[in-house]
Amino acid sequence: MTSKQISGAIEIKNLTAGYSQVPVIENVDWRLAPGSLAAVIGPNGGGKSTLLKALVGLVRPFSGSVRIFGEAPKTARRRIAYLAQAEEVDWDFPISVWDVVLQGRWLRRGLWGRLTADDRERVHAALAQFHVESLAREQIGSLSGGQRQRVFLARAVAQEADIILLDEPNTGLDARAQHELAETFTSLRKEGRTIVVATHDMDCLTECFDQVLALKNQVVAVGSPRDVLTGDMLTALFSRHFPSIRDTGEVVIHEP
Amino acid sequence: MSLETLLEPFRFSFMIRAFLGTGIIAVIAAIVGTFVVLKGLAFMGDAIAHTAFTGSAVALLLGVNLYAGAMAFALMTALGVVTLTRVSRVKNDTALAILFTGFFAVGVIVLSVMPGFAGDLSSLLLGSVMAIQVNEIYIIAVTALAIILLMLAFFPRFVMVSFDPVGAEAAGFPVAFVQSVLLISVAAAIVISIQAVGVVLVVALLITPAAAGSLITKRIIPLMLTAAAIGLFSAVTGLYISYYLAAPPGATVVVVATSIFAVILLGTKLNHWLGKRRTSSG
Repeated sequence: MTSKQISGAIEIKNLTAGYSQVPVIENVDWRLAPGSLAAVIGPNGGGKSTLLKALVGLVRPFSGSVRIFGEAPKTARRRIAYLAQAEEVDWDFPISVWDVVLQGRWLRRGLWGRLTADDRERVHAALAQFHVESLAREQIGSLSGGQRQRVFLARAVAQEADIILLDEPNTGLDARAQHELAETFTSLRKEGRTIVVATHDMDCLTECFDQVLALKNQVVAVGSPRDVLTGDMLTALFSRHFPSIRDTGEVVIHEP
Repeated sequence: MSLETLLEPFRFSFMIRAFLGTGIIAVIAAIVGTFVVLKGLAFMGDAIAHTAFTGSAVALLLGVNLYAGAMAFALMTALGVVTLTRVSRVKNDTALAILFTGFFAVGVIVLSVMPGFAGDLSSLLLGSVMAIQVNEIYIIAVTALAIILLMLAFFPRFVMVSFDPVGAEAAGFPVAFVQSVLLISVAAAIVISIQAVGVVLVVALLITPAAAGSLITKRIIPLMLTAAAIGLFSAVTGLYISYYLAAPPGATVVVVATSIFAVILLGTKLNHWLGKRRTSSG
């Protein structure tokens, strides 16, 4: 067994990170096994996005360490796909769905590489996997929110990413699109990929994810959804809110 | 318009050089201008043009080639913005404003110590397309060829860092390097364009054809080709009008480009309105 196989997909030790010398997350410890499907939950400003950005080196740690499959993020980043929040993407950009997914191959080829027929085959396969092949010629901004997410996941697959980080992917999606997205995560996990989703959305946490990290600038709780999503923990996490878990596993947050 | 009218300006070698130089400049400016428009970098283009003016003033003072001075300062601005933004974490437009005003202030001081050169510099401010020399045509052609080669080599990477720089950087792609190459292309296009339309109007050659093209198509390669065609048409038509009406050539080229933008804008709005009317009446 190689060292990469025994390493966690993500290992964070005592991580403190933020912006302009102001820490947003402090002393975070987290280990995620390869093939996990994890949710990072917490209030606005709790550090969910900062944590994801620290994982890919977009935010530099003040202290502590991040290892991706046992390596520093800088060397392991080609194995990671990061899907930013929808508002950070220029949807008016004149680019087709095909070209967005093809970018996954360009990311793989780096600065000087050239694409081959195999690269185009992989793009076709990724488009087919996410049922967006018929949209290949469409401009990305003309798609629905759910379709856009599927296109970016197709790009991640074309990139051969082992870890996919998604920042608030459910924003603007209707219930059906959210459900389809959750099914997509499950199928990606079955391929052995590690999925981390930063989300506000408490629906389907117990049925969709096998690990939850509750973050409010520091780790409030981490573990299986059943262990983490207790009333006390959620009250501590969201302060004024009093959530409960229905028998279906759905988490509901009631205003006091 | 008769054939004689069309050929008349070509009796003069300075007009042949003007058509050739301005035509190349218009096409190249429109192509790199597509990225400037898509990334909202019009202010960057304007700032680079103004610092290139300072570079020309310094080159005059030192007795070296104007293009070399302009290019040096344009590159310092373009790469300085990338560096300053990354090192100091100040916002892009803030870094640009600091560098732009700082360099331009140097230009003003240089001008104050060499009033005798005011004539040379006024041609840089407003352009002197009729005065393009053969050696300048070579400089324009070689620079344009270099920009086209960079475009061909880096085009998919330029698109990637323009569309999703965060996703690309997260995957370990050298975003800063590719953005720097793109900005170098923009700076080079601006420097050769200054000869045609001058510092004040150079942004129009970058922005207006690409902005007009973006009203017609939502795909990047057709957008570039449309922008290049609009740029070339503006240059040729502007020079003809300038020749027959004795109007300032650089300004006339820009007026033609602006008119084309206005016509396309009106056309698309009218088309949209007619489409809505047809839908509502159907």
